[in-house]
Amino acid sequence: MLSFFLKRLAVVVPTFLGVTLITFSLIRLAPGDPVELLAGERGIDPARHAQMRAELGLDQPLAVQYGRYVWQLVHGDLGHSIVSKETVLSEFLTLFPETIELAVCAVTFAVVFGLPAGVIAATRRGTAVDHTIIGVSLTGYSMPLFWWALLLIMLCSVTLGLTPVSGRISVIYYFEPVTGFMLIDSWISGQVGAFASAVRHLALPTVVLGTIPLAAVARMTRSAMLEALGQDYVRAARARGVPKFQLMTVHALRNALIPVVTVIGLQIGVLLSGAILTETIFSWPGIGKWLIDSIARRDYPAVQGGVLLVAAVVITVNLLIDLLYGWVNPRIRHAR
Amino acid sequence: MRGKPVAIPLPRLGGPLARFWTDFRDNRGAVAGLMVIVVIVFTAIFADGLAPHPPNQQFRDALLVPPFWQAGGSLKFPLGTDDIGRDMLSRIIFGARLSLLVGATVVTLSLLVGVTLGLVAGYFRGVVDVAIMRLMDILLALPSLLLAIVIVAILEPGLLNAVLAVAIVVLPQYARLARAAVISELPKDYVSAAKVNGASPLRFMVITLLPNCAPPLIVQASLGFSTAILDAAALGFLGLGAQPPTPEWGTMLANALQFIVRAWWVVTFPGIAILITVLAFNLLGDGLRDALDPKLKR
Amino acid sequence: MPLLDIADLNVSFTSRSGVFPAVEGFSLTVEAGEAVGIVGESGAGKSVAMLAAMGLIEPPGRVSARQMMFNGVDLARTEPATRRRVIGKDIAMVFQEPASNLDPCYSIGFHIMETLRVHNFGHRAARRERAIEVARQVGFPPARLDAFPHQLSGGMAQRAMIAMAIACRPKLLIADEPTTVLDVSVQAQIIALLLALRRTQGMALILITHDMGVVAEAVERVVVLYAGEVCEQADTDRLLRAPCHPYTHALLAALPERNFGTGPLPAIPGAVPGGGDRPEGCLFHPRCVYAVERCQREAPALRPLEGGLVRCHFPVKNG
Repeated sequence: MLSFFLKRLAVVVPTFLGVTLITFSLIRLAPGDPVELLAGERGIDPARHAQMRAELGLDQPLAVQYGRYVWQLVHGDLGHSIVSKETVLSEFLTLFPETIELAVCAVTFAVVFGLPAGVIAATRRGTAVDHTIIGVSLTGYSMPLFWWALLLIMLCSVTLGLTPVSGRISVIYYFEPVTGFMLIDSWISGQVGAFASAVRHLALPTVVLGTIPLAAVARMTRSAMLEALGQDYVRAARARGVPKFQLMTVHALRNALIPVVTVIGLQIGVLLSGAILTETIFSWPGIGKWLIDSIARRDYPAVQGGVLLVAAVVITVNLLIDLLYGWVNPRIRHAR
Repeated sequence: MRGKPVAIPLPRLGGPLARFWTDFRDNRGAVAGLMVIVVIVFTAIFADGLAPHPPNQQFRDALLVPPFWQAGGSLKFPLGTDDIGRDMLSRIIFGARLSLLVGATVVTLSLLVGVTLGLVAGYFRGVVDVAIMRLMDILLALPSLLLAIVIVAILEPGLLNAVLAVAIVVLPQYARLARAAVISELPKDYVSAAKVNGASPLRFMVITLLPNCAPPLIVQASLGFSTAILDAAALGFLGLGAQPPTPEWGTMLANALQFIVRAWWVVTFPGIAILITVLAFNLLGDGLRDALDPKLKR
Repeated sequence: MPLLDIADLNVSFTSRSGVFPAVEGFSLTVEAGEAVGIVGESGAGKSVAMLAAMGLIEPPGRVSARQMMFNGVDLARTEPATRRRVIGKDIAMVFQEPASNLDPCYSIGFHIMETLRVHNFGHRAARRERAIEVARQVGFPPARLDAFPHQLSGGMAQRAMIAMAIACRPKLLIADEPTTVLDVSVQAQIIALLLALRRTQGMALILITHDMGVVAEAVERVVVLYAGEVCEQADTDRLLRAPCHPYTHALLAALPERNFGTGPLPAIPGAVPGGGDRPEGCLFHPRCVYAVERCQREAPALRPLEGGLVRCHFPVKNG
């Protein structure tokens, strides 16, 4: 297990260095003058321009510049946002819980509905129930997220008036963030209705962001369950008198979980891509919306730092998923 | 003397292509997907003849007209008009042309570059392999849409740059598949035979190795169409892809949020077009996978 | 009353190309404590018949039988729930490939204790004790009960399978080619273990095999299956000494031990008929050296002969 982890780690480090190379090049490849991009000003007078150029180290050879960039990163310096003048790291950390909250809810939604749907489809293979689940999940898998969001807003918010259209919580509630997670903060604030308001704001974005992972989990669970149900050990368990429900859960589902965990891991990137669209549509104050806004405002330091941090998150989560995979797969956990 | 008519069983052609077709034909979803794709291709090719109006013609006296079955709608604009009086149906028909073009370009580009990278990595191994695959890992570490957005932001928004961005984003999938296929094929006998016969690496890779690695790539290419169409539409929606007034399905939805209350048809139809197209390619891809991959056959 | 009395068991599989009978008119009785061998080539229906008795045939397979009496209960007519309480407890089965029949996600100890729990064997501590006890009985080191299937050798895994099978002290153990995939040196150990267990536990044993050597050593009575039908049944001694059916005759003649140094083995020409190519008349006639015109026309019935049963118009006369 440890060697498995170390092998993964050995791949992670160069990958992350590669990402820094991309974010480093970002500013230099972007149209326009890097000094102006980093300063967020245009038409800087030549004397000051030269001075800033020297301050930012842009007059040095590229290798030195890159070394300096990595040195700053190692010390936690990701630069300042042009717009807010705050450090990129602190902006990211303020907004990140919002995205985590949404992503965790979406994954939970996907697993809570996708796993049983896949199991049911597999156990009723070939029936109308199975065909319905296959059809619905393939449709979900093919769904353009941004349109799905618009459609749900039209249905749930406009027509039925069930859910709010945007934001994180109703403006009538205010409390100091404690954890940064609105669900928890609104709960511990003790204000009547605050938690309910947070949940209602969360509902649609969760469904929108969770739809594709849900479909992916359902599809993978179904095929992994079918694979497992055809294995000799399931028949052998039946031959020992193990009842059907236990066969399905203890044996088939437990084995099916191994590929399903991989699929959930692959959904992390999909989830963050989806978060960009979902947060933009629902005005959700998270990382996705912040990145899109930063690009629109040409806030290059923010984009540069944000991309790097998002990549770091993806790499870390994938590492965790690998560990989870090793943990659910006894062949890795108990390597001979 | 006349006997009872005898059903003569169709001769089962032994070739792999015939076997593939028999398997594919039995998959109703895949056949439906293929038929929908044929219809969309037909629509795209004959858009000029099929569309009732030019896609960008503005009927100033017919703003936000509902579809024909609703009160106030007319058959002149079967699916209604948008906020500046353009016919929705015509724009969607012309959008099919763009979406297919985007899909085809992205798949061709990424297939060419990705497969080349994968073949080279798998064939030469060593440092080349590590370098290429590490690069692919880096691309995979970034969420695809974010990477595409960043690329477009560097290159300036526009349809062409969006296509390029999406093609770069999906490279790793093809490279990984091609590499895995090459590595699994290399130890086989026919490979040694070709090498003994002195085939040059390039000739060898393209003529001998590639056809044997084709099935997973064909499946991926089919699924790649749907990814490309979805991602390009998402970029269009964010204002980073095709620019107005281009009748691109995603771009058409870019400012649809404001019509949610007033004009559901402006919001609904372009999305349905995307969904149906993507669904059709996914159905086709699933069907191809089942028919081409004997391992997954049950 | 016999422990197991199967009469007229039929198993067929329906596929796109038609209905394929895997077992036809199979009958078998096993007395308590008796050891019976079922032999035949691959595809003869040996395993399918036993899986059917265990209730392990799933659609598209179809099972029907006049009766399947076990210990006074007709398994062909009971509710699945009742049957499940018998399966794994009173009748247990050991399969061919131990590696694929053990769930890779669980330890050996879990497997044994699951069997015990399913059949309501005492409390947790009692089950644990019993698991250690059966592990000892089959020569599986109790310290390895926490091991996972992929950490075991084939022989050890098969011992684990046998431990699971005898955990609830079954009255009948069905062993389906339990040694085929194991190393030769381990094969003898496993057979010896099964025989020893049969003696000490007083179980009946049905041994499915295609190894006539094992048959001679392990069982008192042999049933020979060909293409899903019983073609001969007799006491082991008689069958090995004087086979009546031409197929049994050919099977024995093909044994390497009997042809030591006498030139090439007399293999049986042709193959067991499959789904679409079942011949008219006697199923064996296309491969039978004694076949005459009547064999092509008329299917022989199973009839008593020399203390056993044989399905042949012209049984081989011995001596």
